[in-house]
Amino acid sequence: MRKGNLISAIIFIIIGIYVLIEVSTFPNLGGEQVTGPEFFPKILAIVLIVLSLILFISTILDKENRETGLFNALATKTYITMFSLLAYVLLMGILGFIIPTIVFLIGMIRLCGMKSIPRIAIVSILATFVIYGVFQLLLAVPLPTISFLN
Amino acid sequence: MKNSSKRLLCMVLVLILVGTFTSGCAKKDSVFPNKTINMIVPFSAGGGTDIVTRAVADAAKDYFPESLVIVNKTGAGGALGMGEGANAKPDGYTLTTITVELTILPPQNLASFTSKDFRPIMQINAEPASITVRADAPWNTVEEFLTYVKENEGKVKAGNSGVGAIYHLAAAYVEDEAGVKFNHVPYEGAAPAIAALLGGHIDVVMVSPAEVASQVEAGELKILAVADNERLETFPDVPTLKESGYDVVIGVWRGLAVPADTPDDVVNVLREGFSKAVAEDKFVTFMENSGLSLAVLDEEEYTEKINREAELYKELIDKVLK
Amino acid sequence: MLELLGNGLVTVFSFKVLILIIGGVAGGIVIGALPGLTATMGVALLLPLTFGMDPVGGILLLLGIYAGAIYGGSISAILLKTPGTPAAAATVLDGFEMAKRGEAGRALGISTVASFAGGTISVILLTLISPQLAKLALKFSAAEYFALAMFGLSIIASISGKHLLKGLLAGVIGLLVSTIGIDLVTGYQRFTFGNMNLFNGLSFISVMIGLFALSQAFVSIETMVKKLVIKQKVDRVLPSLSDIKKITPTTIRSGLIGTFIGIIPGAGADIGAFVAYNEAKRFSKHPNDFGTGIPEGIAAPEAANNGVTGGAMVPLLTLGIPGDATTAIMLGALIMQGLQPGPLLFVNHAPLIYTIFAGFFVANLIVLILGLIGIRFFTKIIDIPSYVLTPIIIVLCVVGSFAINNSLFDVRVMLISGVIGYIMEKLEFPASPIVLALILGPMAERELRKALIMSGGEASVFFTRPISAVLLVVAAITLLTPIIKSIIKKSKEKRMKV
Repeated sequence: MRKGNLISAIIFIIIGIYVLIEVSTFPNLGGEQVTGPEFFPKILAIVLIVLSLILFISTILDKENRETGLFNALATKTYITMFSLLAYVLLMGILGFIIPTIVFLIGMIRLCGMKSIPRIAIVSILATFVIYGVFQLLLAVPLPTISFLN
Repeated sequence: MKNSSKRLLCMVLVLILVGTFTSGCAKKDSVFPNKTINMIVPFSAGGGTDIVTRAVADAAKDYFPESLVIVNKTGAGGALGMGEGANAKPDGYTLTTITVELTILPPQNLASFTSKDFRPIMQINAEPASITVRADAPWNTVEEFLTYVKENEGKVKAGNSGVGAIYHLAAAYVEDEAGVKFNHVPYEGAAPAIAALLGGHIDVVMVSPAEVASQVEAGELKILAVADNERLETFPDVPTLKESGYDVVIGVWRGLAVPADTPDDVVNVLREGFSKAVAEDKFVTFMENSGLSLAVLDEEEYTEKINREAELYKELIDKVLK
Repeated sequence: MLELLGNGLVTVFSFKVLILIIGGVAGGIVIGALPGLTATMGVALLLPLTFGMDPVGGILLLLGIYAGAIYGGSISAILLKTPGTPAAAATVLDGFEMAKRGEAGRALGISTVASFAGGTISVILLTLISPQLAKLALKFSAAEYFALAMFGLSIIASISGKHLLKGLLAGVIGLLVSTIGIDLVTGYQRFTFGNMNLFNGLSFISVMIGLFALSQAFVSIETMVKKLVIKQKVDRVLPSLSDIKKITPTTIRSGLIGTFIGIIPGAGADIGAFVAYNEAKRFSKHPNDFGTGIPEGIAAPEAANNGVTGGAMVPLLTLGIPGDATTAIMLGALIMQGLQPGPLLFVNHAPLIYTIFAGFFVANLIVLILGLIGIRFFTKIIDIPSYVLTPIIIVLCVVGSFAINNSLFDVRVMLISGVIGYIMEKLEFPASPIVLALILGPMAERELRKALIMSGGEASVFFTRPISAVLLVVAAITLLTPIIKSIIKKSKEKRMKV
């Protein structure tokens, strides 16, 4: 946790500084406006930096050190999921909703530990069509379709 | 894996592939339209633009062999939806409900398109801005009001529906023509501004009469003038700003459009179908019941109006916001 | 008035209308329970259906969906640690903890009863004193909204539990993120990098779905053990007498809080739930138990969020000004039916209005009935093996965030929020402060500046106006108390170590 705290504190401080820099380019029209578009973000950035410093210092002073769990072996599945999700969404933009969803579900359910492939396939196909039915047909939400056919 | 399961799986997969590939295909060599027509509404469900579009689509469904599907695509004050509509294929299958924001957003660099990217089909609805104050306010005519504003420069609080939005521009237009200065108070929409007026927190709003009709009828608000060329049928006792010598004509409007290069034959089909739709009894009644003014303009008149306003608002915005 | 109500009830109990209400509530519960769909979206998506219906049927259908969905969000909040709608974000705090102990049935029962009670309180107030309540709503101007928003934000300190500093940090980051977009007062683009999708800021629902639902899915993939099942004991559906005794004062207070927050245009169920939770904690004899899975911790937010539904109808019907995002859509439904909301609505269409009140009351009753009946069924849902359930939830997150605005951009926002939410969970940063920050940040900032525009720069306006002054003082107390307590505790610990 110490490393996690320290890294997040540093990241926040960097964000705070970035905001302060960006904000200095905001125009303040003055006149009618007593506070301009830079007011709120500026105050927030300062508070952010102050709080991050407190976090940083208190982490260094604190002797405890708990595990984060961000990098242990169990988390690998989660990271695989994240990347698959990325691919899934990208594919959905090209191939539409139905096929990528089926593929994604098959892969995910297998990843999560179900064994029998035929059963996985049937569940995935069923789930995909139920979701498709509820959203596209019942709620009239136009889900992405294969774009190169349009 | 057992053989029967394998075969079942294969069959299902083939069916899916066939299904997905044919769902998007249009039949070749047939007349427009031969598949669903999408109508993009750049504002959210339940709002004025949305319900007008839904009503017109409902009235038009008998005149088109394929269905009309409404797609709400909100964001960026209408720019997202209109942007998508402007960039759609000019084949007539993507209509967009365009609004006055089409002419207001581009000059403020808030849009990736301009009015030239659209080919208007027809205007359906238009509402002028108005000068509306509380019923118990000490001014009974727009002259009295504007005299007061002149004497109290920057003190009279005018609520609008957002900075750079139509009612802000209307107020700026009035300032320009009448030589006065308001204290503009921005709200997140017309409704909160009207609420603030009712609560006594601001002095005037410029919203369309339709939006305050029920409060006026109930005697809580009064309209001093409308920003139109002629008096409104719904409020025949309210003078126009022109009558008082101020050449201010500004307001919201909504209409249908397709992307700019859409061919004539497609546009003709669309125009025919929708012209019949807006003439339908049920549509006219709907507009009346909803307090919305039916204001139909054909392609030529509409295009001319849009071009005129694009110029006008560009100037106004330059004056107001820079 | 009683006569009108009576007639209204008779109309409601016709077969056609009852079916619509039951269908609406049932559909609403499903919509609310599904992570990725919210009450507002449900009403927006089903609005077109009401186009051809008669006014009573159409509006009661939508009201049924509204009440059902606001209740339904608690189901996934309790069972899956994922609020089905933003209104249930506060229910997760105690609801999931109770479910972890195997008492999901108890939690759901409390949620159902509290939702029913809160909704009914608000309908009663709506029916009896709408016009008077509306006058109260009109008193709110920019200064009061600012003070209310600050009060809401101060609750961040209270819900951060033992991670106070990290909660505050999360809140500040959330506030910074909420500044992305076009500045309301000047029209200037902040942090948008020219991307039109960011003009209105990040879509709040996408962030919520990612932060809560998707991140929770990531977490459960990690701990995906096939044998993991905490047996949920569901021996009784109705809460026990002792539970009912415990939650009654909280429920009534929270229902009232919800109603009043609903009355204020622009403040919705999400804010109501958090404020009620905070107040329940403040008035409780054992405030430190909040967050460990106690009945009051579930009853408070659930009574409040359903209380908002009736309250939000007050300004809608009397002034034509929506009380929250969902009623904003219902305004469209009313207009479509030719009903112009406003002071004359009660005069011109009194029988119709009272029928709607009666129907709304019945809808809340149906929430109670369906909810209680459904508890056994709901708890069976988590019997679906999580290796199937979690992937499906992930797909629902994707579809849900797409459905908001038919935009893949929102899906990407959801994805990133999910990853960030996962990291936050690992680093012990609480996520609820971000919800409050994203909802209230924009309100706080624009109302502050609006108030200053209106007062010509006089900052004293916040303290000379009574409502605003009171709220600001309460906000300060709410924010500082946990901080001071924590500092005192830490220095005591240090002293004891020496």
